Amino acid sequence: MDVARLKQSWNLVASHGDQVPLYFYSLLFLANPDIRQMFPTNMAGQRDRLFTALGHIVTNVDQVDRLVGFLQDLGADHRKFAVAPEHYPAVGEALLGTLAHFSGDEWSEELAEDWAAAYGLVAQVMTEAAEAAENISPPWWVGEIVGHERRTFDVAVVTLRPQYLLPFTPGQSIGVSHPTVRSWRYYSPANAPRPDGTIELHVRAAPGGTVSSRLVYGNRVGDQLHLASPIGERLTLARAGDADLLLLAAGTGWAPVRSLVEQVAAEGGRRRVALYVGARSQSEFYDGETIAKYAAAYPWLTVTHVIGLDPRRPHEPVHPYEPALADGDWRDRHVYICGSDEMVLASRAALVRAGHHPAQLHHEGLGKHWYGPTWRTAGHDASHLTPETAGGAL
Amino acid sequence: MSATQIGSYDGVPVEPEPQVRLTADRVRRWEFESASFARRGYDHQDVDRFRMQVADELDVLAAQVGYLRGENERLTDQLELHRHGVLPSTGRSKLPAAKEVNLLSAAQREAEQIIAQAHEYARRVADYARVQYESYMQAAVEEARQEAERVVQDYRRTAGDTFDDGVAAREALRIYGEMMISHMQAAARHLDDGSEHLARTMDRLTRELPGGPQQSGGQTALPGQYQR
Repeated sequence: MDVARLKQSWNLVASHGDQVPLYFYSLLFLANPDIRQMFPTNMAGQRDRLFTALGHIVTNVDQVDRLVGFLQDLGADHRKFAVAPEHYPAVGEALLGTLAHFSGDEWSEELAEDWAAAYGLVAQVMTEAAEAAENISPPWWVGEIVGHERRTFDVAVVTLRPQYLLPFTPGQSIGVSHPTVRSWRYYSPANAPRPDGTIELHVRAAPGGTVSSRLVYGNRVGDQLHLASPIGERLTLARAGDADLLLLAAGTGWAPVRSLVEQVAAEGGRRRVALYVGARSQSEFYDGETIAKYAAAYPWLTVTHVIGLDPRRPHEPVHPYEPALADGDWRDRHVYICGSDEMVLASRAALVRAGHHPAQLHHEGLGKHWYGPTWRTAGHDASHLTPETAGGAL
Repeated sequence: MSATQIGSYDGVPVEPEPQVRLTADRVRRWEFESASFARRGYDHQDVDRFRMQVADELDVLAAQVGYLRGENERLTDQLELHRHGVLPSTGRSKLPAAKEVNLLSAAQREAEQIIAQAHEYARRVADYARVQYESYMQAAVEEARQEAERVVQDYRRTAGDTFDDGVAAREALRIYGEMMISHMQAAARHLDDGSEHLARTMDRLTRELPGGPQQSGGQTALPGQYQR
């Protein structure tokens, strides 16, 4: 395999931009119409991801040790899209056809062989990883909705019972999909693991979001959802050692923060925890009863409610970090931040300005990393208050 | 599954984000930072219009380029056929020709354009509703405050020497509360109507959507052999 030739060939093809993945998927679907239904209707985000992943693979093709981990994750994760070994040759054929189409006169027998060999390797690593993962976890869990409460106009609290245990660590996110929408969104459970295995999700319907709108408005008790393995480590308590905590939550960002509070309680309440929980207005505190209950039950927990909407500055919401910084000095604590991208960025900047070390600030990756084109290649982490795009297979 | 970050294997530093090219979809979903009040900015509606036009134009251009590339491929094949009597692309002839592929691509693009428009509309409606709600709340608060002040002034005039701060404050609070409650009740009635209307619309949408629960009859969208 001539690595330099392969990279050069990719650069030539990649200069055609979005045309390339568009052509690839059309070719794949025309040659294998059955595969179309495994993908969401809207393929726009999909193409970005394919393109970025291919680019990542080709750029690192000569650093196999770096690539293998990436491909193994990819292969194991693709089980949730019901990808089976027999799909790989079809994809390989469409890929080679696409590369040939965009290479024009530059395409040659040797190049075709190089690409076929490289793809063969990728497919082998991915299928083997998928097989190995079968021994550890199912491709997806079927979860039944056992509780569904609309708490505000666009927020629902959904309780799920997975068909069998779905282990997760508080702060992680699990994939959620409905079989008919064929795209996945990541939500962070609002509870520490429970003896009965149920999982509570706090879902805000994003305008036009296929998964979130369905979860809030279209589902009810008894419906079944598909759930995927938990991912994301950045919000887990392990990151804080045994330090005291400052928790900043806004909107449905309260969900992972609540699971952290439950975990502190489960560990015996040996940390002091200051919670600043924000919502746009008083009526948007959709989980107020739980917050009040925890505030009353746990002596180590202090709770401050922060209303985002301030009539004196209507276009600039009040973020929970503002009263927190006004109240005290938190530099000896670890800080967990969860909310919209804007809230996370603003809090982070303000805390750093106030003398906090970045290593003591914990938050998930922003929505654009989580669902955008560079997902996986730039590391994957969750923030679940972001505009929804389809999270599909490559 | 491990969630190791790609860039951090063996302590290798995280790579910069790969360059991603501009696409029609990215233009449609692009969010501009809104300029603060102190700074000069562009008119939002103008920006939106421009963004839509640019995205559409990108789509048209992409379709044309795709068509031309397909034509080029076809003509080259014809030329080769005339010169040598064989089609050079026989190796991949079992794959669909560029023309067909482009046709499907165009359909896909159009579908995405429609979806993007629907998303945009939904977002605008949600924003509009939020602004309405907030201005309604502000008006209600303002009206209740004025009413409470008026009551206190009336009391001050009639009470004369017997004026009592505690009574005035209590009276003001009572009126303020009553006003807010009546506003909230009116708002709740409005919301009930609206939510009923919305529920009907959602019902209709799920019925009409292909692949909606009523039509799929409990079937999943996965190929038969993968259903569990």
